[in-house]
Amino acid sequence: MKSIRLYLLMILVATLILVMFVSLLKGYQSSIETAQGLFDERLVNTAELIASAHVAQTTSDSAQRPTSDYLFFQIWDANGQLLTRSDTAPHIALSRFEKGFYDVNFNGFRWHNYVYPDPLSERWIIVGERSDVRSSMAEDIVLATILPAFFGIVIAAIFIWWLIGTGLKPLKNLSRQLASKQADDLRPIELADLPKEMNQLVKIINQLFWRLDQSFQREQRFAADAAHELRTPISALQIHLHNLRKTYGDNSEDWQVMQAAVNRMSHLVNQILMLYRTAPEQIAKKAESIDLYKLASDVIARDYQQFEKRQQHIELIGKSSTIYGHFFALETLLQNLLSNASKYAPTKGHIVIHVHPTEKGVRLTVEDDGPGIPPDQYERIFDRFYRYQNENSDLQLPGCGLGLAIVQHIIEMHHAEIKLSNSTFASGLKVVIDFPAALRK
Amino acid sequence: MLLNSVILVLREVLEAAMVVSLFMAFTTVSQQSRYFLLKAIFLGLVAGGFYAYFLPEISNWLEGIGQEITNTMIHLGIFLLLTGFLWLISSNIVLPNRLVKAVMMGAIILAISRESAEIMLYISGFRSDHFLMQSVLSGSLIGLGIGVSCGIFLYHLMIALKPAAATKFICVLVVIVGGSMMSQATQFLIQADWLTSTEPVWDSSHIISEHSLPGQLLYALMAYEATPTWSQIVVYLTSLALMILVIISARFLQGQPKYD
Repeated sequence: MKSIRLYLLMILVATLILVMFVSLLKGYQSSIETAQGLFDERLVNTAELIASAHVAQTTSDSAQRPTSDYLFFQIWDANGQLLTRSDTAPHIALSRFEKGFYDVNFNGFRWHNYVYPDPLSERWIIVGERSDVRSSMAEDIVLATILPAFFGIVIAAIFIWWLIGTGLKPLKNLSRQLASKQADDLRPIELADLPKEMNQLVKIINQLFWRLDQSFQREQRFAADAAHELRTPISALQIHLHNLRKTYGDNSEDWQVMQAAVNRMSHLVNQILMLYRTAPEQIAKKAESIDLYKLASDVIARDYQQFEKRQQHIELIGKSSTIYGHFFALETLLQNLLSNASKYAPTKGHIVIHVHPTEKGVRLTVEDDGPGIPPDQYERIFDRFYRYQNENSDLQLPGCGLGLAIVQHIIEMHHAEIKLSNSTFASGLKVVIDFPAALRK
Repeated sequence: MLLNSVILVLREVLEAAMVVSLFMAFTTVSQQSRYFLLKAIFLGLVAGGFYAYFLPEISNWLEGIGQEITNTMIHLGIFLLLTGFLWLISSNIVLPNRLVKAVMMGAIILAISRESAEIMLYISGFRSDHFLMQSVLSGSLIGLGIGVSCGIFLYHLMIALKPAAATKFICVLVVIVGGSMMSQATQFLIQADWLTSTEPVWDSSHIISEHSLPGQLLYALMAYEATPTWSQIVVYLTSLALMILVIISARFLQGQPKYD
């Protein structure tokens, strides 16, 4: 069902038409019968009138009487002699001399006759009407009552359309309120003059909002608390590992594996914290104007050590480009993209960042000359905890598989679009992100 | 005259409404756009206009039985398209498959063109008689209203069912309508003297008159005749058996039941 209003209109008008038209047909049939009865009565009266008016006249008065085209009369004496007739009537008797109604054909038409024996003058009066004219007259009378019904249905359809619209107004208001809610607005819905049919619905929606709000809060509290609480023991673990190494001067493989595991755990906790901080409600709350070019420059400057350590060449090209977004989220996005580029680019490799305004907003491009990713993996690398491992490379890279999931998350929150392709270097990945100028509310 | 118009128009509209509402319901149940069906209805009306325009000429073909033979071909065409439709969906070939769409559109175009041509011809016959025109138009409007309303009810009845049940119900109705098409084709062949007319096998007019509303509904659904001949009964039952056989064969070849 595409529209309740259209469905109700169609089904109600169809019911109205069906009931009304079938009733009209029944009414038509009985009206026609009544009209035919009246016409028959008129024929009887006409015959009696002719009999009483003609009783004093003699056969010498016999002459053709002018009448209308659809009426005739004949007067016969008891011996079957025609005394007089109308000009539309033939010279022969159109029915047998027996009282009653008869249908006969003459002059190209069907006629409905009445034969009346006059007891006083002992004469036979035959009067008749054309059947088609009788039917038309009857139909004319009945049609005059049917025609307004057609207009009535059109008017009723307009009224039904309007009334359904009025009846569905509370539903429209509810849908409007739900549509205008912000992502973080989980307050209960309040509607004035709520019909009782919708009370339960609104109650359930409000309960759902309340439960959703509670569960969001629980999730946020848990993620934030867990990450915070884990950070302290991990830091302590890192310090104690460092001290132990100094004290015992142990640089065995076991120690290196333990150090890598602790570093990985620390990175994972940091990423989970970031994921929480880039929740939609956080972004919507704290959106502001940000110069993406300047932000990229700051992120490069802050993380320059990681590029320098691997003697990588990093280049920022573009100009000041402002978008409306969340500062921390965009900073995280740039950090993750550059960290990934640095991880996969070889020692002495190249990383290029472009930031420039476009017609619709701002385009950010990050390219590296690492091994790249096959196109069939483009969709999967945004999955949480999924890490792409190049089959031809023995390089074991640190990471937890959350970096690009966070990037995807931030992109969705900013209504931006991300595209992956091969970089303009001999090999490597190119990430293109198109940001709209303003964050949609 | 009003009653005659109601009966004639209702008979034609109900028949077309039956085919259209069956396919509309099938499209809705399949969650596909109904735009192609609206296109078919429009094309059917245009084709009906052409058919009505050339009908006097067509009637003179084959020594005066051109209209009967053309109508037989149209009904046979609808029957074949409905059988094709049953074969396709029983073989698990469903919408938005182009062939399924083409078969549905073809059946609607043929059904509407014939029925609308009959109505157009009937009404245009009273062009010069303004006295009767009002009655004819009123009767036609009443027949059209009742016919379309019945189609709307049938459509909503079918889509109110669960999709699997609705598809089964649609298949059953398609089989019955298909049989009705062949029965009507037989009537036209009897009118054209290509088949010999025999004595009626029974007379059920005292139970359901052909001219009553239930009689018209049954005519549209299964070509109800109060006084059918042997040839009509044989052709009707053979057509039903053929369509059922098509469904069973398609499912058998498919190797598994489709709807459950």
